[in-house]
Amino acid sequence: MGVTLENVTKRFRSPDGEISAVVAVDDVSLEIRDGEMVTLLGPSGCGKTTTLRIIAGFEMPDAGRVLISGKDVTDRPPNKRDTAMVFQSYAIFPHLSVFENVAFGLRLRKAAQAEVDERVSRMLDLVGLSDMARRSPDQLSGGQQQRVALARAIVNKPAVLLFDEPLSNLDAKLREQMRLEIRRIQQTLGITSVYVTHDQAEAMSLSDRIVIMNQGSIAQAGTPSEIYNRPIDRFVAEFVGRANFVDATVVGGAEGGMVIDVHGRMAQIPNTRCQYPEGTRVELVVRPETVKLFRSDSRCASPMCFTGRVTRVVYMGSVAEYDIDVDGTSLLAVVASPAEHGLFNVGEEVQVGFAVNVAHPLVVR
Amino acid sequence: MKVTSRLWRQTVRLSKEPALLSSIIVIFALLAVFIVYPIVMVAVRSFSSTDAPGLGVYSKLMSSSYVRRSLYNSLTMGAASAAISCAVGFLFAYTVTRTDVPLKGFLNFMAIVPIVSPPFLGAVSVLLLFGANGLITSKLFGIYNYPIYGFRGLLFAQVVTFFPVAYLTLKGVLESISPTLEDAAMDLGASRLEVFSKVTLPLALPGIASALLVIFIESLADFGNPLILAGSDFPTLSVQAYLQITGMYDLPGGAALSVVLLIPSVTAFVVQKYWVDKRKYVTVTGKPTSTAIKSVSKPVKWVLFGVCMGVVGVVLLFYGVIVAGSFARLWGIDPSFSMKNYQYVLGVGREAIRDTLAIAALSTPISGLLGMAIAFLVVRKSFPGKRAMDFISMLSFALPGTVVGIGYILAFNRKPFLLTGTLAILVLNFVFRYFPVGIQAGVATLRQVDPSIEEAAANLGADSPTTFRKITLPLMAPAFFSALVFAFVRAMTAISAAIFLVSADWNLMTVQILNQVNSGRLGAAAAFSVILVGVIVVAMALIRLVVDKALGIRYQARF
Repeated sequence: MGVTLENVTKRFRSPDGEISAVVAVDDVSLEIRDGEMVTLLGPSGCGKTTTLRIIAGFEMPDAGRVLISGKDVTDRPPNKRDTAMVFQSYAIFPHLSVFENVAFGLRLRKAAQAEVDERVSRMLDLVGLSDMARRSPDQLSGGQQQRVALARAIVNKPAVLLFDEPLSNLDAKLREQMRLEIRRIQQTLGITSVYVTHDQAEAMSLSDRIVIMNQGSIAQAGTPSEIYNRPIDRFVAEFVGRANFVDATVVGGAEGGMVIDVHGRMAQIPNTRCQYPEGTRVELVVRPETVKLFRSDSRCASPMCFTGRVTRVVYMGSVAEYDIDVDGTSLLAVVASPAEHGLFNVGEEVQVGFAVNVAHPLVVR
Repeated sequence: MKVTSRLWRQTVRLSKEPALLSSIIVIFALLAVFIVYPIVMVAVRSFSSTDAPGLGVYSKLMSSSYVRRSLYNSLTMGAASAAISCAVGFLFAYTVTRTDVPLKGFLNFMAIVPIVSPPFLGAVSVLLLFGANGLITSKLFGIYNYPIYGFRGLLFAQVVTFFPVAYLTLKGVLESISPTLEDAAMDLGASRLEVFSKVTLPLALPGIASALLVIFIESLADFGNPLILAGSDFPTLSVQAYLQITGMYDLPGGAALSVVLLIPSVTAFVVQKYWVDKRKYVTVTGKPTSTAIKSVSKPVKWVLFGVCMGVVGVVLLFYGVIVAGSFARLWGIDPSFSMKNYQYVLGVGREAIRDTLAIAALSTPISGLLGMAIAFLVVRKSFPGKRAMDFISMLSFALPGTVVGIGYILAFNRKPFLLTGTLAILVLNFVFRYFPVGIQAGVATLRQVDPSIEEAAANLGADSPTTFRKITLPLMAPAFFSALVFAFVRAMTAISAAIFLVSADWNLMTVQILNQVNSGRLGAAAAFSVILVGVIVVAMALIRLVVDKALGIRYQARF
C-alpha cells in the first residue's frame, strides 16, 4: 500500500499560460513503504506541497509517474484515488455538522446508515470529539476543527493519508499536543502517511523518515537521526538544526578511521562515518550543543580545544547561547542548564572544545 | 515535448471526468447557438439589403441625418445618464457606508426599489407628473404643454431607473476600502476633505469608472423609456432599429442600425471588463475592520442626509404617482377613487399575466443554475477555451436587447432552430440574457471560498458534479439567491428584446403595458405596473424560501 514517485517533474504556468522557468518539482523519485510516516521538509517554495498535491491528484505532473499500492494513478482525478488529505486550512464544510463532515466520504460510497453511525462515532471517539457531533463547524476551536479534518480523512480507511502543514495555524502548545496525537493515531491504524511541513521539530518528532527538499529536488532522505547526524550537505545541515562549520584537512589514514587536521590539532574520525583520501579539504558540521565551554583557568576536558572570547550571550532559561570568537571565526555554543554551570560574560576569555567523533565531515567543493 | 505531454494529460484527465467534459461541451454549444449565432445573423443580414447590398447599407444609413442624430442622441444620453446616475449613486453609497445618518436601512431600501420595477416605469411616472395632464405641470403650475418629451424627460426617467445600479456597485466599492486606510491618513495629519480627496476617492475611482461604463451600456440599450418619452424629435438608436423593422419592414436597415448600436456598447464592455476591472484595489483583507464613522463633519453629514432624502422623495413620488394613477378614474381629469383600471387590466391582461409568470418561472432556475455552473467552471476548473467561455457569457450583458431581439428573429425562424412564436424562444432569450449577473455574483462568492474545501470533497471521493451539487452550490447560496432574484425580476420586466419575440400565443405584461401607454391609457398601464411589482415582491419572498429550504444549513447530507 505504499506510494512510489518516479521522476516526477512539474512546472507552473503564469496566468498567461506561459510555462514558468522555475521547476516546482524537478525529477523527484521516492519510495514510501507501507505503513511508513514520511515527512517532506523544506523551506517555502521547495516543492514539498506541490509533491503532496501531485500524490493527491490536485496537480498533474508534466512528466513522471505516481503509483499508489503499485497501481499507476498519474492520470486519475483526486476522487478516484485512495488518498485522504488533511488540509492546512482544515477545509471543513461550513454548511455541514461535525458528524456530517466526517460522514461525507462514507455517504458518497453509499454506506448504510448503521455503518455510517458506527464508524463516524468510532472516529469521533478516537479524536476526542464525541460530544461535538451535532455542532456546526463555526462553533469549534481551531484545534477541534483540526481533529474533525483528521477524522474525516481517516474514517474512509484510505491507502495513503496526506497532511499539508496541518498544524501551522495552531498555537505552539496545541501544536505539540496534536503532533503526538497524529503520530499515535497514525501508528495505531498503521496508515501510510505523507506529511508536509516546514517545521523541523515537527518533522523530527513525527517521522519514520524525513525527506529534505530544496528547489524542487530531494536533498536528502533518511531517518531523523541520519538527517541530523549525517547531513549530506551544508543546506541540510543548516536547515535541520543549527550548525557550525569548521575547516579541516584529511592528513592520513589510521586503523579504523582517518586522521584530520583541524587548525593544527590532529583528531581521528571513525571510518563508519565516512572515508576520504589524504589531502581532501573538509568542513566539520559541529552542532552547537556539542560545543563545550570551560573557564580559562580550568582544564579543558575536550580533545579538541581552542581559546576564544565570548562576543554574545543569550540567556533562554533551559539553555544559554554563546557566540565565541576563535581567531576571527565565530563559533555558536548552546549550553544546557546554564544555572548549574554559571553564565559566561561578554568579553570573557574561555576555552572552547568539541567532540570530533560526532562532527560530520563534508567535502568542500 | 513537455507542453504536449501536459496538454495530453489535461485531455486525458478531462476524459476521465465525463460529466465535467460533457457539461463544458454542452455549455459551449449553448453559448454558440444562443449568443453568438444570433449576433452573427444580425451582421450578416445587415449586408443583404436589396437596394444597397454589402457595406452600402451603412453608407446609406450614415448619409441620413436622422440616423446620425440618433447615434449622437444615444451617445450623449448615455454619457449624461451615466454621469448623473453615478453622482447620485455615489452620494447615496458614501452616505450609507461612511456616515452615521439615521434611517440608513430606509435609504438603502429606497435606493434599491427602482431595480425591481419595469425599466420604463420611470417614463410612465414622468408622463403622469409632467405630461399633458401631469400632476406637477398642469395641476401645480398650470402649464399644459410642458415639453417633457425629449432629452430632459428621458434623462430624468433614466436617472431614476439607473442610479440604483450605480448605488449597489459603489456601495460594494466603498465597503471594500478599509476604513483603517482613512484612519491612517487622518493620523498622518490629513483633514477630512484631504482624506476623501487623496485616499477614499482615488481608491474608489476604478469602481466609479466601472459603474459609469455599465450605466452607459444600460442607457444605450434602454428601449422602453425612449420609446415612450423620446418622441420623434429625439430619435435614439434602439428605438429607430425597432421602428425600422416593425414600422417600415426593413430588416437589413434595422439590422444595420443594431450593428451601429452594438459598437459603442461592446467597446464600453471590453474597456470595463479588461481594463477598468483590473485596476480595482482590494484593501480589505481577512480580518474585518471596524468602521470608523467619523469621515465627515456634522454639517456635511446633514447636508448629505438632506440630499439623499430629496432623492428618496423623488423615488417615492415616482412610485406614489403610479399607485395613485392606477386608482384614479381618469388621471388629471377625474381623480376620484376607482377600481376600473384593475378590472380592465385583469380582463384584457389575464393571459399576459399568466404567460409572463410561466416564462419567468421557467427561465429563472435555468438561468440561475447555468450562471452558477459557469462561475464554478471559470473560477475552479482549467480547460481549453475557458477565457472564451467567460467572455462570451459576460458579453451577453453588454448586448442591447434590441440587437438580441432582432438576432433571435433572424436566427430562429427556420430549421433547424424553428422557434418563432413559441414559449421556448422567450424562455431561452431570458436565460441567456440574464445569466451574466448570476455568473458575476457566483464568481465573486467563489473567489472567497477556500478552494481546499472543494478539494477536500474530491479527495474524499466526490466527482465534479457531486462536489458542485453538495459543496459548491450550498456555499454559493447567497450568490445563487441574488442570481435567481435578478433573473426573475428581469424576466418579469424585460421589454427590449422580448418585444420582437412575443406572439399571439405568448405575450408579456411589459409589452401590454407599453401598448396601454401608446394608446394613451396611462391608468391601465399604472394598474398593470402595480400588479407586476406586486408579483415580483411575492416571488422574491418565495425564492428566498425555496433557496433556504433547498440549500440552507442542513445537518443531514443527502445523496
